[in-house]
Amino acid sequence: MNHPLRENLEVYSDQVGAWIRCTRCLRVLCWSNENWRDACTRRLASPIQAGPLMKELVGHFVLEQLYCPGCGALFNTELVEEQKNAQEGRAKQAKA
Amino acid sequence: MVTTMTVDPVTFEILSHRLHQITLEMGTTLERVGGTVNTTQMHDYMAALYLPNGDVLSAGESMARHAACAGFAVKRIKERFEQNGGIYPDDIFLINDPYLAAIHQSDIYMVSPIHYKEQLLGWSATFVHVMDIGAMSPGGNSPGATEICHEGLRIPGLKLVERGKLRQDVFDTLINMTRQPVMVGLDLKCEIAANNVAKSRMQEMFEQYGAELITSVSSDMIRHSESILKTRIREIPDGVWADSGAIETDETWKVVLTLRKEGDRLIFDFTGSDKQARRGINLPYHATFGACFEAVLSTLGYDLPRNHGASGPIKVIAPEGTVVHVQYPGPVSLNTTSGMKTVQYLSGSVLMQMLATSEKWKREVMALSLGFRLARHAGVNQHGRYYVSTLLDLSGAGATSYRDGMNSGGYLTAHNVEWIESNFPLMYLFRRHVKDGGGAGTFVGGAGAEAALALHDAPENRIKIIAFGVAGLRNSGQGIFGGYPAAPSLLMLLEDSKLADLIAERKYPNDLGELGGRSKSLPYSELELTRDDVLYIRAASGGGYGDPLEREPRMVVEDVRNGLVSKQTAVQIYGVVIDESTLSPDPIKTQELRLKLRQERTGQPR
Repeated sequence: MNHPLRENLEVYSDQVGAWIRCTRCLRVLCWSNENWRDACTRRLASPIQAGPLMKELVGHFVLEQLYCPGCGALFNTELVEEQKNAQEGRAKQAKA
Repeated sequence: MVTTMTVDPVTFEILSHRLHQITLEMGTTLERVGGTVNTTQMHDYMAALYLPNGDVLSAGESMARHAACAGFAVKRIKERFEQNGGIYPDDIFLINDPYLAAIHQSDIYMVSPIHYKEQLLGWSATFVHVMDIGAMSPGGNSPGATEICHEGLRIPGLKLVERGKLRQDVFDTLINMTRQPVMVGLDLKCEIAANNVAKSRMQEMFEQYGAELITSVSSDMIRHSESILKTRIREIPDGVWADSGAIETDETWKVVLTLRKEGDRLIFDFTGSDKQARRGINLPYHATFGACFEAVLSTLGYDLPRNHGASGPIKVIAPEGTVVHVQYPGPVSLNTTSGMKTVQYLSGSVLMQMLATSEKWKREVMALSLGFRLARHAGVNQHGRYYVSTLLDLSGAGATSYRDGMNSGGYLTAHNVEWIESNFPLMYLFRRHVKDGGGAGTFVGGAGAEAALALHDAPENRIKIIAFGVAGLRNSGQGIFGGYPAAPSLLMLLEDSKLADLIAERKYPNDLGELGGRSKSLPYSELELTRDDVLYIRAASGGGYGDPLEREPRMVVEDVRNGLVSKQTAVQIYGVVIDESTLSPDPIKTQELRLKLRQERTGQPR
């Protein structure tokens, strides 16, 4: 069954199976049972990039943004704990 | 037992609105008769009607989570008094035990049976947040409490009014155990008054229409809400959505929530949340249930009669002994502005993820808030009397899929500045909307408010401040679907400021930077505000919705004109270049800048 997943993302089915794809450029990101976040272009920045009043968060959080690797449509913006982000980064390196 | 009958749609509409109107009149009564700023100005109360078995009949327009909890209060009072003490016409009962019905002890519930011709046909219930409850900290929110016994009076149920007569000995005993007997007494009496109003109005309805018709309409209202809600839930694809959050002070507790949607059922499962804490952040089960009830009503049932029908599709799993289902002797006094905020955020978050998967419902998605900081203040005022009160400011609302968040508002409203200054030894230096507070997005979050206060005309040259609220740095509004997070809510103390010098020089401080001094963020704590100190509160702002590069440039310029967005933010986050000569967006430079910012995202020209 086709249905939206969130702004700019949808679940799309064809004869092969069900996919998650970008509604802007129709680029397929992953199977519908996989985590679409892992298929995105991920950019990390200082919290200040979300506005000048975010300065209290510097050193504690980073601003994580997830984009469509095809067209750059913005899917998600979130504050992520700096420590957690570093741990996840190390885990991914070890896995690689 | 009253028999029921078929009700025509017109009569149903008229009578269901009349029941709703009774709850509104109860609220007005609380405001007019009550004494504290929480009750008279901030809407920190609840007024609702119940069926004879305690199910919610009409939750009015006050906080739905409390309407759900007061249903538990009615049921506990029935269990306690039906066999022992009796429930008679014109009785009014009081209960504030968080393990039975209340959320924390400061929220005093009063429930009153409604009889007609000697038959129990319903209940009314109210709560107000009294300004003291005899806890270790003035005001009831006790940062130092490690068990419930530190947090003041805990009443499992007592009869305060017996067959229409106030039990003066009980009333005097209650107010005598608080730091503010006069104000607490007024708040208790405003609850008695509101319950009396409900009883009179309901009895008028029974007299005019007959018990049979009113009982039928009551049942139909609940069936109507439940039926429509279940239909709406069925329209959404089945699925599982999860989120987790943290309650933070100097320690951190994790809260985990998974929502399973199966047919017309919504199952909120908090399994995996941390064990209960020795700080007052814990929630009793009924409060966790109430938060989910409120979240469902405000997302899928905002236009329906607010009643027990919203409970029908909901199941809440909250393991005992965790931060979302506290057991004795876990403390709770800080929970409404800590654990509750996290649970409200998470229950909203999973519902928003769910709505986004439905073509029909995705329009209703809204950015949510993780809560805010606030404080109590207590001491001797300029009139020589001891007082306890509240300081908070107005939060900005989250943006939705089709509009910006409201800049300041919400259910809890803020107190009047002049009223505060004339009653308490405080002076406001400023109170205004926050520039660059709202989270950026296609639709921007509400700005929220900020205020700075200092001591003024304080006979003892000091007052006590109790700092609480959501104390972690990740609070305030969170963006959704690409929308940016809002500025954090802050509670800060500026020590040894230059305020006295500035006032002597007849200079008006308009910015914290002008005040000098040493600033420190306040954890959960009790402290003194003394001469030369300044207290700064920044309320929560709203999170943004969608990509800021897709916001209409003319709306960004309008925000800059209104002082809500800086020119720097207009350029860096929204990619809007303003033509200074016309104070309008420069279309060509804006298009070029936005193209460049988009290219930076993927590292490729397009």
